Amino acid sequence: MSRALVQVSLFAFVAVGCLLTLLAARRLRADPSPDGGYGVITEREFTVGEAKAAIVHWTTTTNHREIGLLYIAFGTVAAVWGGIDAMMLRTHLLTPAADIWTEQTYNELFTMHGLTMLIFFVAPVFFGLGNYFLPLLLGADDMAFPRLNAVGFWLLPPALLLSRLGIIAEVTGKSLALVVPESWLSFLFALREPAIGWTMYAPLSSTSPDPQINFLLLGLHLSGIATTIAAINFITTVVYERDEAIGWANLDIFSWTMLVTSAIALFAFPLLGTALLMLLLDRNFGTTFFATEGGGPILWQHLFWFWGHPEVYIIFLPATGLMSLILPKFVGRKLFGFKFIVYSTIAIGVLSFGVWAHHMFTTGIDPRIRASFMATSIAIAVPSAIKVFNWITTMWNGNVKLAAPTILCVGSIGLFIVGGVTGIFLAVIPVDIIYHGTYYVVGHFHLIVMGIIPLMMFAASYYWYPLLTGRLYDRRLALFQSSLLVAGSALTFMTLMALGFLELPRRYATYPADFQWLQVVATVGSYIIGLSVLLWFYNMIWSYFHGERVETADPWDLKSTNQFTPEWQWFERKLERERGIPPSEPEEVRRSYVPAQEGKPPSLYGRIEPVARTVANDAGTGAVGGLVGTLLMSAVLAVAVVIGVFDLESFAGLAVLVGLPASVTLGYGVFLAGGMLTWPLLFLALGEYLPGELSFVTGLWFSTVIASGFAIAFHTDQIGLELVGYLVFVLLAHWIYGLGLAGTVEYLGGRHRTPSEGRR
Amino acid sequence: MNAPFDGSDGRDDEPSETAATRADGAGHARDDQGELTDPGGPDGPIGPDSPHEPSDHDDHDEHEHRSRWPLVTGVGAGGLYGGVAIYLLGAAAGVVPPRLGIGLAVVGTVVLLAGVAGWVDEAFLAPARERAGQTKSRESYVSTTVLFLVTDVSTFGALFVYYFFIRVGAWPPETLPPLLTSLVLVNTLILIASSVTIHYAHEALHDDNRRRFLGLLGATLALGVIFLGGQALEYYEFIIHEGFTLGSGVFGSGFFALTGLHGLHVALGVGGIAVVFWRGLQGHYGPERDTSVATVSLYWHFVDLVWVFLVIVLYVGGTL
Repeated sequence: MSRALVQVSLFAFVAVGCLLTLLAARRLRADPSPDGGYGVITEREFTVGEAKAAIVHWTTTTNHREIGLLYIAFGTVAAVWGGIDAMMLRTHLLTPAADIWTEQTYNELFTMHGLTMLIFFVAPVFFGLGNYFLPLLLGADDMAFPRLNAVGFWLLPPALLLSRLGIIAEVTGKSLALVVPESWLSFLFALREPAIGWTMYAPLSSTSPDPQINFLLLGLHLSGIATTIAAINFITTVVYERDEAIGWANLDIFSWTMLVTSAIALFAFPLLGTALLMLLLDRNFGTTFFATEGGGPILWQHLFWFWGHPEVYIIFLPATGLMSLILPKFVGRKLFGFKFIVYSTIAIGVLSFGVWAHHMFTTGIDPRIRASFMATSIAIAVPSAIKVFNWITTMWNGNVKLAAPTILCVGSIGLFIVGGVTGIFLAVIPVDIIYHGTYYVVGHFHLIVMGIIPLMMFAASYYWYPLLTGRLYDRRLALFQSSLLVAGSALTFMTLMALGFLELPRRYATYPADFQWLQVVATVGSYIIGLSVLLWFYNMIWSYFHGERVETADPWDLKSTNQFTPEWQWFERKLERERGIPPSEPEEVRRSYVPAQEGKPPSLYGRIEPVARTVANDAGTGAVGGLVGTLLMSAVLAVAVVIGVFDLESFAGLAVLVGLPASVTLGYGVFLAGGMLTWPLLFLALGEYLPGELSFVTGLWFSTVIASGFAIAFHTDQIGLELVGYLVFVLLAHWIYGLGLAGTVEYLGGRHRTPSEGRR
Repeated sequence: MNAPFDGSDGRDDEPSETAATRADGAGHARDDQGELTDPGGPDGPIGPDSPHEPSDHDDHDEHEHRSRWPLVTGVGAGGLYGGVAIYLLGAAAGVVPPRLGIGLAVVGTVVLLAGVAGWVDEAFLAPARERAGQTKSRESYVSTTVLFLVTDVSTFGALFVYYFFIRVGAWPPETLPPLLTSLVLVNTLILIASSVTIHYAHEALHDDNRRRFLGLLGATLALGVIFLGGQALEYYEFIIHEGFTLGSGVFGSGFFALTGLHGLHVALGVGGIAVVFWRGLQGHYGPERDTSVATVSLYWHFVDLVWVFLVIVLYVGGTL
């Protein structure tokens, strides 16, 4: 099976599928809608003149929004391409032997999958989103340099073509060979997709004869220039094009992350550019930059990862910006710890240049260098964790709405935590030395580059869909799609982590048959991801024609929590201008956060004291409630002892458990203390999450749950009817404990307050 | 893939709204300066890079400026890069004549330069011809130039890192050619002198002394050209007489890459100064209108600084 033909067919399948959906959607829209939906729209056929005008329009535009859309479209094409690489990789790994495609094909696939996704998919999509929304968020007219902006974009298509010319040339050659003699086409068949790994390590990359590698290096260099241009433009835009009303303090979080990302790119990409050209010279002009007698292969790794690790943060930071922007909108609370998220973003920006050598722990570099890079690599987890904690806290007590972006945000946080924490392990030299060459690393970084980056792009596409198209997407399908995406990502990459724990080496086209079933699971997961992406395409295209038209500029009800940000204000003006939709006012407005006390900020004591008082109150209430409950429970147990279904000696076992002499009295003391401390505190902490509005009902649920543990722990040797009696009395005793505890807490007016405002 | 978006979004470029139809505008402050200046009108303030933009911050939808030059630039760059790659393909595999690649690269370069020239003309020269003031602050251009120079530090950085790598290794790795010649000394003095002349040219512009400004700028241009000549002479000496080339060893790689990259920067700087000089002759500048003089001069100082560093590290440091 020719790899190139399969790939191009799959690509064509996706493209034709999108086109057919588009045509079907257009055609169906022309029919008079039976429900009187949007019958007024008249269908026009595209004439040649209009098509020409559209082409001229889109190729000469310097409007930041249109360039943004071009960027996103370009990135999407690259994503499909790189995604097909990934699907083929996973398909190849279905069997232990390399019998679907060859080893060579496998190497080509993982080389170009990595480069396409990192360079041509992620950065362009984020730069596209930045192009579209940054000026709107900043209140700027446009990007600082609109034409330069367009130049930056138009360098990308030739860069992608050069980088992936191997496959284009092969398919063109094979198609042309049907009509012209093959000998005329030798130059097309001279190019093969590079199979040198996406990291392009010397000496393999500097000695492989494949001339396509030269094309690849030049294409990557060109794309690097494009990225640098875009980065400069973003920085100047954020610094100089802001509205007067927007200072550094109220600059929105997405602009902050784009600013830091651009600052990193400013320093990382030019260095990669030079390194790529050095490699090109090594390959073609006999220089010695990465030859053993010159700088050596290690120099390539230093230069590559000096770009490569910052690049991770270049693509990661905008995703965190989107998360910080979108998540608060769907939980109705202001972003918690805004300032600290900004600080952590800047900290990551700085630290990102100081961690590169952790990719090289196994190369035998100086142990002292390794140790210091281990320290910085562990340290960089701190700012990332700050973000995660702030996101979680943003959701806390929020009015969490079920929507596709919410699922994607929450799923991302989960996947990112796993990806991030496993990264801390990998930063530790001894762990890295074991796992560096295994699937563990693949699982780790995919949980980040898949787990948060594309997920946030999807979240952004849903969140801003009404603004981009004036229509709503199919929300049920979107819920399904996003759940599928999160589940597929978790399944695929967690399985890769498991493979890594079993120390299966990565980068190989073949593997021992023992690992097959895990590989199959991972492949199934990746197909789920692929399916969800197709569903997303369908939803985006179909809804563009058939989605419910927005009748308000506030489809997410942002005004009611004071989060109606500038891009939506722009949309509101546009809707009013074009469709005469007046600005809406929500029925009620509340602040999206609990405001800090007015006046001067409280001292440290002033801040701790209320917390301490609440804790003391809760603990006191709990203890009293626990005492009442435990005494009532003791009465029930006493009855059980009298009947003979409960053995008093089992209290002695409890005393032994905590290290006291086997005495019934001491055991009862422990029992009483537990009933007053442990279980009431657990009840107070978890009570809100137990079913039931009334505290009595929650008390019953709580005691039912804990009764199971008690029944096992205090069981002596009752069997038959005795056992039934024992269980009945245990349950009765606990219910009365729960009622006593909850009733007392309710009576004393403890923490168990009325349903919070967030629940309404 | 952009087709689904283009329908409703492409149309909203029509400048149809008036200031009166604006929404409440809760959010960032929006003043109504828009009423004072007719957007895009003949008297409107026209920025160097956004010829139609008035000072109104509100209307995102009035971008009527289009430009074909970005696409031309992209195509040209693609041609240049593709041409180089095809040349290498031809040289290595022999399946295409290398001349084809060279031809494509030359055409690509011409198109690229045309694209850049068209862009510069449209964005900077046209507004200057119309003698319009600029809305974009001079500071933003100077800062952007500084950002570019930061990227350049990084561009040079990779090669310097290579040089330090081999310098701390076994040294000298090969017989070195005579590095510290009178030619290098003279070239260094010339480049430092050109930094001084461009600085005083700028000063003269501030004093509104046009003759002096043009004279000193012309001198800078001449010095830059002489430096390039000296550089070419040095390469000639090394390659023809000493047999010291890019491929002749560990030091040769670093030497030619570093000086070549620097020479490329000087050539670009000479081009920039030539444009500024020509614009000076056209009378585009004045004491308050010196943005491109400031940015080009900043770039030139940077190139000069890199050279001094290069002489110390590569020439003197290599000989020691």
